[in-house]
Amino acid sequence: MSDSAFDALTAAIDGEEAAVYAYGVAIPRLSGSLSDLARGGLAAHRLRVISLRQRLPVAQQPPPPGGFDVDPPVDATQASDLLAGVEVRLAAVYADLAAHTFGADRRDAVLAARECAVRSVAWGGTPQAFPGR
Amino acid sequence: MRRRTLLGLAVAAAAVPVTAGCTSSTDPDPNPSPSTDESTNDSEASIDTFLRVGAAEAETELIDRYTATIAAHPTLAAALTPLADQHREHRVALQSQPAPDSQTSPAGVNVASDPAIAVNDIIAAERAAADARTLDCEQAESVELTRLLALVAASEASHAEALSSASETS
Repeated sequence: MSDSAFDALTAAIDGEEAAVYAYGVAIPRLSGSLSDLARGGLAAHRLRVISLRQRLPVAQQPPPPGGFDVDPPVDATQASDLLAGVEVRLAAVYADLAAHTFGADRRDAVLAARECAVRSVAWGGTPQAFPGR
Repeated sequence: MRRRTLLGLAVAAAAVPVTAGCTSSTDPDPNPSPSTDESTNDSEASIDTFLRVGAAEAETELIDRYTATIAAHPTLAAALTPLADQHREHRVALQSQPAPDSQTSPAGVNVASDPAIAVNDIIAAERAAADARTLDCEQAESVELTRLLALVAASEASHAEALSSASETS
């Protein structure tokens, strides 16, 4: 694996860990269909973290985050804004991972980028020509 | 305000590959082909050129569909114009030489008389385009084009989501 491919993979792992954390602090502020949407997003990001970490030997993996210095959102609007922002930025991280992988890994990264961009819009984000860039 | 820190982390995560991407054109090919003769290099260049031309043409078709739909249903202009403009950004990024809209005629696009159906047709076209760019991505050779096609696919998938959720709430 080239240095740039390693950097792209660890950036995706870090981004997914941040997304899992963001969903964790957002979910208590969401109810009804938004809560369901958030639980689906959280499950998807948890799976992605596991899948991405499996591509690296344990010694090369970025350490799990101890936490993030972040104010928990106080209401559904703040929670949605937080998730829209995290998702759209993660879309760009995955586009870069796609550029540094091949075959099935690349397809997986493009599909992940699409899912993140779609979820960002579902959380009220504005569609972008080049999501997260 | 501390909420920014989490967003900032994701931004920082994104910034690393952006920087890496800027220099990657001079990096050695991370996936060298079995053959290193000049004809291989030519074919790699032509694959990317072929993908760029095809993707730019697909953007023109989407722009034509938006233009024709807005002409047939002016009340949709506010919702559709920003998305059409993003396809123009895609096309500029895909083309080496930007072409004006007038190069093609949107007259060939059949727009449904029911605006809801017309929007549904755009959603279907966006999803088809996102799938086509996803497949293109797997064939692209350069880091830059692969990243661009992935972003375009993600953008088009998000357009379909935006139009779907808007039509659900209206």
